[in-house]
Amino acid sequence: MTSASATLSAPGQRRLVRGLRTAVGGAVSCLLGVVLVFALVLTLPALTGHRSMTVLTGSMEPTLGTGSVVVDEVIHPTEARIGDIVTFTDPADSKRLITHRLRSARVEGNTAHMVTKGDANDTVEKWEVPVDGEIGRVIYHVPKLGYVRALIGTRQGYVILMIGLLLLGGWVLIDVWRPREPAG
Amino acid sequence: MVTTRRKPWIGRVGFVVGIFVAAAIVATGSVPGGNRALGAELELGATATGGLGVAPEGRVMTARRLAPGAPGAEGRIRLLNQTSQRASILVRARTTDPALDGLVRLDLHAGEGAPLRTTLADLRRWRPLRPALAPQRRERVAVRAWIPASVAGGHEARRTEVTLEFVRKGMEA
Repeated sequence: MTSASATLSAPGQRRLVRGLRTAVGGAVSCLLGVVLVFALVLTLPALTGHRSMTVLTGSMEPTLGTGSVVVDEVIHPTEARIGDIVTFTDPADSKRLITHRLRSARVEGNTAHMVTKGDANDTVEKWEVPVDGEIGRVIYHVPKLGYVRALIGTRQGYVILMIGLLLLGGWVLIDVWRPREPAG
Repeated sequence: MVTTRRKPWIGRVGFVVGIFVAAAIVATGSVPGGNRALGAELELGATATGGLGVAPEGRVMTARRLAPGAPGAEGRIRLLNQTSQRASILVRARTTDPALDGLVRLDLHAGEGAPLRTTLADLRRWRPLRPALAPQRRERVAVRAWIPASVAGGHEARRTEVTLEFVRKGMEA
């Protein structure tokens, strides 16, 4: 078998390298666009008063898969609608948040009594929140993005991210300082 | 000699494509909201004293999902003047949750008389219900509970039990 470079003339080789470089450049730019949007998905909510969280369990399958990033708007409990997916503090563990679908609600005095259930669960949970308190309502989600967020949160993931950024920076520098070819 | 950069549009196109792909993924991840606003629930019952009888006794109607601008709920009560005298009727309401008192409107329409249109709050005091009942005469009272479209909120997920009390004029406590 003969290698491609062996059969190509010098101008042909240059064209091949140039084509590859163009393709890689386009792919890297495409990746950058994707990364930019996903980075905005992860960071913008905090600036606009929304909250983004990662789904850790499959209790809301198939609507929200494990590893999805959900973005919540903050609402009062009486603003919720039956069928909304809401985020609230776990009545059994105040450090944990739960994102489940609202089944019913009743307000007595200044307390809202809420009943929610995960789409994949068999049982409901009942919890209370002050009427003027706050809960989250899921407005959109991005599947699997939570895995990337979790990866970046680890030491190895951070290192990988930094290496990626360095490589990208190197690519850009090489591209900028590369000798320019005469046109025509 | 003119020099040029190597196909710079490829990078721009790639970048835009990446943005569109990611934006499409985000857009398809939109989560539809719930389909039912939290309405108010009102359980209405009736009692009568002072020579008046009422049917049915106890619960007359249950209004679920009362919301501003919605049609509301209707029920019917039959009033009986058990005395041998013509009876002018008074009515008032007792509620278990005052939060809805100023929001829920009640229309009470007895026979050919003019309807009594009031709020639960106003109905905390005795109000006349026309027409007067002839001796041993029955009269149907149509009750409608609703929330005006102008109500901005405060009714959500509230629940109240309303008891309409009918009494012959002069017998009220």
